[in-house]
Amino acid sequence: MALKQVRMQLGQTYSPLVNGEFVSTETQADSVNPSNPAEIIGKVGLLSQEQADQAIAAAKTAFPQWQATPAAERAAILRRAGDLMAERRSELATWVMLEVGKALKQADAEVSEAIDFCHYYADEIERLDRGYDYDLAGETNHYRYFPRGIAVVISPWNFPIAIATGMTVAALVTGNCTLLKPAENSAVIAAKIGEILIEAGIPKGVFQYVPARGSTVGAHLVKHPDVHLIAFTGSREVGCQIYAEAAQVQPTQKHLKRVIAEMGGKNAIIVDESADLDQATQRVVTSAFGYSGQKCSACSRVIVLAPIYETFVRRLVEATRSLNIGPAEDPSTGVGPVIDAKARDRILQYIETGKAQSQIALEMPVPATGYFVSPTIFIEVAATDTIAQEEIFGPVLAVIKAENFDQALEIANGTDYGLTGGLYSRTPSHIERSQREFAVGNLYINRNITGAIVARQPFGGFKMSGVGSKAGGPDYLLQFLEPRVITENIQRQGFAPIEGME
Amino acid sequence: MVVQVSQPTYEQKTQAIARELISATREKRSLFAQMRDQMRWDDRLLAFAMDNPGLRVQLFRFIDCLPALHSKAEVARHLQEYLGDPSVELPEALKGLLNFANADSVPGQLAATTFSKAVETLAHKYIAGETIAQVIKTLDRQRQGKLTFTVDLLGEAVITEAEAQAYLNSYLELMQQLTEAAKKWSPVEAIDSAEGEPLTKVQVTVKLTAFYSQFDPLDAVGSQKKVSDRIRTLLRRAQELGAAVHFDMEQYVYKTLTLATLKGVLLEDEFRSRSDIGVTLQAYLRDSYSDLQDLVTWAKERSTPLSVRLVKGAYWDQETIKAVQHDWPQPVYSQKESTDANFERMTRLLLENHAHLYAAIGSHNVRSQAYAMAIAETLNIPKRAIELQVLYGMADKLAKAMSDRGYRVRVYCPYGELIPGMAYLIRRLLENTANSSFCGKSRGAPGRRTAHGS
Repeated sequence: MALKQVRMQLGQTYSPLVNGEFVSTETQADSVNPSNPAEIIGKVGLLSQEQADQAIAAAKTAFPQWQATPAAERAAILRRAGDLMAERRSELATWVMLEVGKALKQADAEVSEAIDFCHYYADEIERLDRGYDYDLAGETNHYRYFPRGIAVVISPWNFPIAIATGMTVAALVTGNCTLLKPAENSAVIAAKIGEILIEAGIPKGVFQYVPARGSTVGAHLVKHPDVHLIAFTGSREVGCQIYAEAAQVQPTQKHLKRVIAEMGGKNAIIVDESADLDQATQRVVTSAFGYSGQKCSACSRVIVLAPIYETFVRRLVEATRSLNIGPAEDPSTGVGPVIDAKARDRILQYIETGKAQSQIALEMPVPATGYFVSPTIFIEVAATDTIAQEEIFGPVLAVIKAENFDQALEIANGTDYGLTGGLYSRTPSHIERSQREFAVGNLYINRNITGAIVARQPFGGFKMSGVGSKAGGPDYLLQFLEPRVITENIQRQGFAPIEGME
Repeated sequence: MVVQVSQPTYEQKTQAIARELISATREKRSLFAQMRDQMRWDDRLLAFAMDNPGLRVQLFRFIDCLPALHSKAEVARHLQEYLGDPSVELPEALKGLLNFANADSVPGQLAATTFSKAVETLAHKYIAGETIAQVIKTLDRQRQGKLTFTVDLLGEAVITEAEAQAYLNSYLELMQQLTEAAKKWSPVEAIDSAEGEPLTKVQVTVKLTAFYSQFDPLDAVGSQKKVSDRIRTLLRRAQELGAAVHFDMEQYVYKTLTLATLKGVLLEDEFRSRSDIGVTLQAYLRDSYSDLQDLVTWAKERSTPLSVRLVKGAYWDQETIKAVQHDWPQPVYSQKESTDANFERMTRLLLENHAHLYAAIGSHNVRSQAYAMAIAETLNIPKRAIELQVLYGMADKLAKAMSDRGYRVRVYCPYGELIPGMAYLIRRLLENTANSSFCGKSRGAPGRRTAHGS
């Protein structure tokens, strides 16, 4: 049903939304279906640098009133947006499926996550808005949170609705005027988020949808002196660049910028001798090859203890071989396409590197149409090999053997990243040690390492995996806020009411 | 033909039968309980577990991981880690056994061996054999006690297509060997015929999802096609060999597709007239009664009876947790009493439609079985149309008492290796050490998880 309806709407043009108006653009980009690139999902107008400046100016104009809007009203808009998404859930999931090649079940879970973000951050701002009072006789001390100003959200294509919505509504609900610059590959879904926010009642200039080339206009927004905050999710390379550029104080700039950056991972699952291999095998397969490994949380290394190495590898390879590879919309598909030709070629390059350094255990034929890469397993991989160190962001899994649990932990921690990690074990002491020594932002014990849920598994890492605190957690909104303390001497002529005294 | 009889008639008779069954199964129990000190380790472990809930949890968690461990030293180390947990109050006998400083030491090895042996012995109480040859011996013994059987292969989760194919092949092999062995069996009137009609001596139970490694309710069409192909192969071979096939029911997520798939295949011309096939319904599911109503309508249309094994359901915890975690409505009844009541409603519906569906009542609950018997006896239901089922090793005395009363009793006999059998074993141990049920303290009486037909 939803598929038919969405198919009828393919190929439309989506223009940037600047100051409440859809503006025409000089350039356009096609967003295509990765399962079948001949199918154009939509044509997206790309903002010019001048239009970007206009958008910033509009945000600046809208800010005073948005800042003055009570938190409860801002929260109400988010809740309405969440409800609208819930009403359009199957349609939105279908857009996700078609535009970024994600299986429907996972696309649906992503829409749920977007809805959760709306409701959770609405609740959160109401909690934070109360602030703290440290009053005493003759003096009040009010600790209160204020918005920072103008936020630029740079969102990725791999969770085109969940992450884009999460970052955007966090910035909005905290009173910041927000520009959403989505990844080009998922700009149509971002336009849908825009539709929903407008319908929910976001005033003009407060939210602006600004698809643009990242390397030029995106970079311009990051450097803009009027921008206060950049919320980014994407690659380590771009994240580091944004962090550096945001640190440069531009002429006329009167503040330091805050950067929240969620970057990559080189996530490992340790499987020890006591593990339930039925579960471990299945969940490693899910974690590594779900959405073709294109999740920041995906498993790209599995570290297996020597006593079960052979058994585990045999089953892992066979279980992966049993996955169906095909277009995302086919319900039997276990592994769909990767996002685009560039990504495919980069992943294939890594596979070549892997072949030179270690032993390939699985590679399968893939459909000719679409950007497909076979689920690929390397075995006997050394912990220091390229494919065991660099983020590939594709369906490539490195199996590394460890002689004992100490070594397994050392290998697990031996990369630049610290995002997610997993342990399959029924050894109580291993479970306990991993909690202290496995250095990741999200550790999953005896379950898959993807699929974090808002307010249950607040998500995010450290080291080169990012800067800033966890999305969907109690500290997240604080990053979009500036706390101020207001102290008032309430004595007049030595007179003041003193609590508890007559 | 639907026969209506007033509820009070069933109720009086149910209670009378239940009293008889209880007195028939109660002998010699107290003597057993007094012999704790002389019991073997496997029995002692169960006794400890019943006395101490903290120990029970840790002990079963340890047993769950035991078959995965590769050396005695690892077994000893895990023993200490699990049972040395502060939540566990250890009985003196166990303290002594666990009092070693080094897992590689002789006392450590001794503890490992003692436990491994005890768990193996326990497993053999509930698992009818590790090989087909062993299981055939067990079945032979059962038949001498006038009990018939269904054999279920305990397997690892099927996660590869090679495993799905192997699962089918194992059943083809199993049916071949069982029917071969059956040729040498002397007939047992009570279980091999009904109203003069000869019954199939061999029955196997299979799990539908194991026929396709990527079985997924979201891919209903694709999954149905894949498993249907393998079901046809199985049913054809079963007919050639003269074996009956029963389909188990698994987790709720698979239920709708399982029923749809079976209904589809069983309406095909080739299989439409087979009456030696069965499906399973789980009374703990809130929609199971309407599923049974649908099945009655469907069976009338098919016009050849099908067996329905009625069980309470073996995945209560799993279903409950899953629904909570996803914020979904609970598919299962929250209270055991509601499940029991639904089981009786379904029993009645099933038996009152005995012309269209054969009933297989799977329960260790005396009251549940007595209720079915009361209806069967009141309505004079033909022997072909009802049988009573228990799990191997779980209710031997009840099985005998029901058989003595003239019913065909079928024992669900799982077989296979210990590691894949562990999930099954843990469920049996949980049931067997649970403390609340109709006939509370007696061993062999199931508790909240009153389960059958895993």
